[in-house]
Amino acid sequence: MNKTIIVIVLVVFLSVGLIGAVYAGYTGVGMVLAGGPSARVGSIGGPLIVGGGPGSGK
Amino acid sequence: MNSTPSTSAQTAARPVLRELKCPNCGAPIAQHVPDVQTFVCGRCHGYINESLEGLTFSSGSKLPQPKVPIRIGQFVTIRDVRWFVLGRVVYQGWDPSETSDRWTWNEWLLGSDDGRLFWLSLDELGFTWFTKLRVREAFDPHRDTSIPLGNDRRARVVERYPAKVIGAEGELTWRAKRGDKLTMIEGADGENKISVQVTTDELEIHQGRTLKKEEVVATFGKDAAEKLFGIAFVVEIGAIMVLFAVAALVIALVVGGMGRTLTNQNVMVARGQAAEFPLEFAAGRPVQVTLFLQTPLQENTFADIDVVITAPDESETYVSLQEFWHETGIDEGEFWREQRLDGSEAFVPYQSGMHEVAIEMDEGSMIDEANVRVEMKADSIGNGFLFGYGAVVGIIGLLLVFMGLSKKAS
Repeated sequence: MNKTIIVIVLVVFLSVGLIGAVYAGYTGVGMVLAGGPSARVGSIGGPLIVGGGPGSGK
Repeated sequence: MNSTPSTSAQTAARPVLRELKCPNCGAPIAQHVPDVQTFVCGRCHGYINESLEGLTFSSGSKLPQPKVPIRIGQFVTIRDVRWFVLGRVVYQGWDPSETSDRWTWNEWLLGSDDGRLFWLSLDELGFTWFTKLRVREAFDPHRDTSIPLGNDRRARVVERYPAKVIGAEGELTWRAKRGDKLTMIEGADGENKISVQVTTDELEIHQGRTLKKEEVVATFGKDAAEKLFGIAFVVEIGAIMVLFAVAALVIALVVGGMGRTLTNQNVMVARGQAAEFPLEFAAGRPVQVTLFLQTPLQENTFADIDVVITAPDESETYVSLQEFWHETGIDEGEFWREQRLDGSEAFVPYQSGMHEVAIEMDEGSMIDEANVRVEMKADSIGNGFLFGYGAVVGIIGLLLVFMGLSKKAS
């Protein structure tokens, strides 16, 4: 394959990765969502445990 | 410069000065230049040395073909001069401090129609065109840090390593055989390369200049040049990746401290008694929270401090748990002390509006209360992905560069 094409593809790939990393940091990808849908409400009991039975530890 | 490849075989044009017979296999051997001291039989690949006692023979083996189309008995045109390929020597060098680090390179002996002799060397950096220099001053090849070039000029020694002859073919103007050991000294004199080869009997100094890519293309053809410079292409790819990695790390460091300060205040926290204050957040962009423990920690104690955010809809989220500690000890008779008195984490508010911020000390902490400075910055940019990107791309890039440079052309 033509080396120029390889270099262009590599530079595009690396640029997209770099821009993606900046964008992820800008929007907070992977960070804790304060007050989001998974946040607990009220006591510190944590997420509701569904299921179980005798001896299940509930 | 000749614009077309000029390595096509023209073996019949060079006059033969003398014909010998190999003492081992009887194959005819042609001598093309005077002062030849070593012939390598083209049939049995044995080494025939010319000496006062006559011809001596030692066994050899066939050399692998070089990556470039330079063959014994052919003509090559370099810088408009036609050269006859007389002989080739393949060397192996190694790092004396790490003998597993080895590399090989080729050197061709070329003769012109007017009787001049030159060495064309091919290593990982490409072709170098070497001409012999006369040794004009005393030179200790094992200790001197510069190489005398004459007229008060000296070249700085940049590398010194042991090497051996892997094999040879054709005819050579010095006594050589497979396994011969030598010391190589490489020097730099501006754009010129200086190469010193030292054996137990001889010391030769050569001055050379690297052939430009256009010259290699013109001399050996585009395919050969592509194959040759393909080794450096890996280095180019690696260098580009390292460049991006450095850019990512620089951006990560720059954006790490960015953001609009929402609060920067001291609070007092105690076990079971959180410090609380209201703060307005806008949804969607990261907020960086940094805690600085202002109360000194006694030796070998710790304190864990949480940051809990209560959103306008009363939902609570632990956004940060920072561990502060002060440790001491003795390691191999040396006293050491390490402390961690600040820590940072980022979160993204899901809702806009007034939130309640609670700074809590964990029950297990070894202090009862602490003065903590709380700094919060809105619209910050997380740099974790940038550091990760920089590390991954940089390591791959450095590996490629290392591979490319350590893979010597042969």
